[in-house]
Amino acid sequence: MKYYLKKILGFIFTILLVSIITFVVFQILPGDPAQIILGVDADPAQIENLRATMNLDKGYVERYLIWLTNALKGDLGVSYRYSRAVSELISESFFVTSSLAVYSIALTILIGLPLGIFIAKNSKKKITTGISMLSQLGISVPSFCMGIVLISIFSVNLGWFDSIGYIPASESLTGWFKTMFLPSLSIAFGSSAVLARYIRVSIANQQKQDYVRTAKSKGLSEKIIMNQHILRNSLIPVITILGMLVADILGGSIIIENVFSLPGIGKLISTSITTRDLPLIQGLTVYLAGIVVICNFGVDILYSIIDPRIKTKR
Amino acid sequence: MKQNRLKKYLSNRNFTLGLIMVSILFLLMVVGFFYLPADPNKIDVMKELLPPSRENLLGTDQLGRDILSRVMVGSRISFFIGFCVVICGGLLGCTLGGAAGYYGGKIDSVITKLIDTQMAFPGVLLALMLIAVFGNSVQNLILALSVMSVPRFARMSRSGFLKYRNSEFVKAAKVKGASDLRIMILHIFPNLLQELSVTATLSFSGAIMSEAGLSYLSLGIQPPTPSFGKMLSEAQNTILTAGWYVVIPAALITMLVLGFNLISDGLNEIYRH
Repeated sequence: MKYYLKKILGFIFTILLVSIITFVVFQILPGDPAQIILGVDADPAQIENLRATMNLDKGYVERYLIWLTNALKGDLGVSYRYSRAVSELISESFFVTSSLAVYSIALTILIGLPLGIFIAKNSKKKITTGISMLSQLGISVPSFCMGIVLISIFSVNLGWFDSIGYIPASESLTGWFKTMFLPSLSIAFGSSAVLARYIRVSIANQQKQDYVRTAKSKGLSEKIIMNQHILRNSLIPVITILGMLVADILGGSIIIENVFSLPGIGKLISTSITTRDLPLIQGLTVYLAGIVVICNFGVDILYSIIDPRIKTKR
Repeated sequence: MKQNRLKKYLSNRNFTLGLIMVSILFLLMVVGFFYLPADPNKIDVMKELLPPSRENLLGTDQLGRDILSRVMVGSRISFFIGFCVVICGGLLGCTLGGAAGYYGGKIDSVITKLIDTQMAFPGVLLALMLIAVFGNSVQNLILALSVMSVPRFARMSRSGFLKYRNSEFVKAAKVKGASDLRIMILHIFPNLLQELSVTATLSFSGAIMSEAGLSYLSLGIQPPTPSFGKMLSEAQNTILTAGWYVVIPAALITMLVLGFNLISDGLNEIYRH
């Protein structure tokens, strides 16, 4: 119980820190936000009015507290450009990004897990060197380069997929599945290589453990030892890696959504920056960072349920 | 002795392979300071999107500019940004991590918590936020990417300083009356140079990758200055008419990132054995 309490306190603290950092960064901004919205030749009275509604006449701490309480209620302010609530804009594009993330994670596990196990099982064969080189390549190719290469191969040359454009799942499920495949694959290419590497290391570590020697001296076959003893134990740390990958995948999706013109949060971020739509950027930043913190928190909890030893370790 | 050491480095396959990849581009860049096949910014509408030929070894882009010349000039940005980010991020990260590891206690928990919190901002998000606030310029890009690379350096140097702070030679220096700063810089830091080189090369590739990504989004290096990321987005627009163009920037970015990653991997292997 003490473990969970500590984790929850840490979680709340991190969320607070994230919100403070984001808030402070946007306060350093040169110039008066009210002036920026209304333009240079606005009426001073108007500016004064807007300053009051934006709480700009209050102190930093007070403004932070107002912003935070509103954010917790789900009110992240109003976008300059769209004149709509930031939370509304986020929730509209959230589905695209979250489904891209889930899709990529599914592909990552589907490719990375068997690959990692295969490399670990055949660590002495020559083919492994080739696969290791390939996984090194997978880690190094930036996901947006991969995306464009995939477009060039599968859409332009082979014509299997549409290169850009998004079909909502509500319109056509198979169409959605198809449009999301290449973006997800370009993210999963790198992350599955990372996953495979971790699994290989994890299996190699487990192979040195005492229980493996015990199983061997008991006369169990290599196959049974691998499948029933080693794999189970070596997959536990993989959950942590998946938690870390969530952050990577969300970060990667910022660029990937632009490569494939998907109307998700990443696309929203880049347009909000080119139009200097500050409330929107601030809202999006806090929102994405919040998701990452929540995911890491979830992974920690999940980890302690699967492997209770972790609770006593720290 | 020196030759032996060189042999040890070159006999590592990852290191050598990475070094070759990086050197090719580095040489291209150096040659570019003295000789360019054509003016990289000269627009010629008669020569739009010509495939590679003897006259334009890598072809021409959508404005008829010679791609090879643009690559030679564009690699300057990649190396320059990578170099500056490693220096700035490394200085800041090592200082923070060093203080955390050496002093421990409250300083350590504050710095560690800050670094952990920074990890909550995924990928280029933090850089994007900084660029949004401070505006789009090369200095701000370097600042943003440096901040992004701080956690990696800080973690490395924190664990290093933690490892050595109670060692015999540090105790001896303390007895002799050396100041904390002197111990940290002259006694502990030199022991971390090997790990530092691994982290630095990894950060180098990370910075190049992020710069390319941001320039691809038109939020990094601004045209007409050629950069690989921007070339990639221009090439994507002409992917239907000139499919070969997109291969060039994609391959170059990958080659640089892969090259530095391989060097980092290689160094890691060499130092461990």
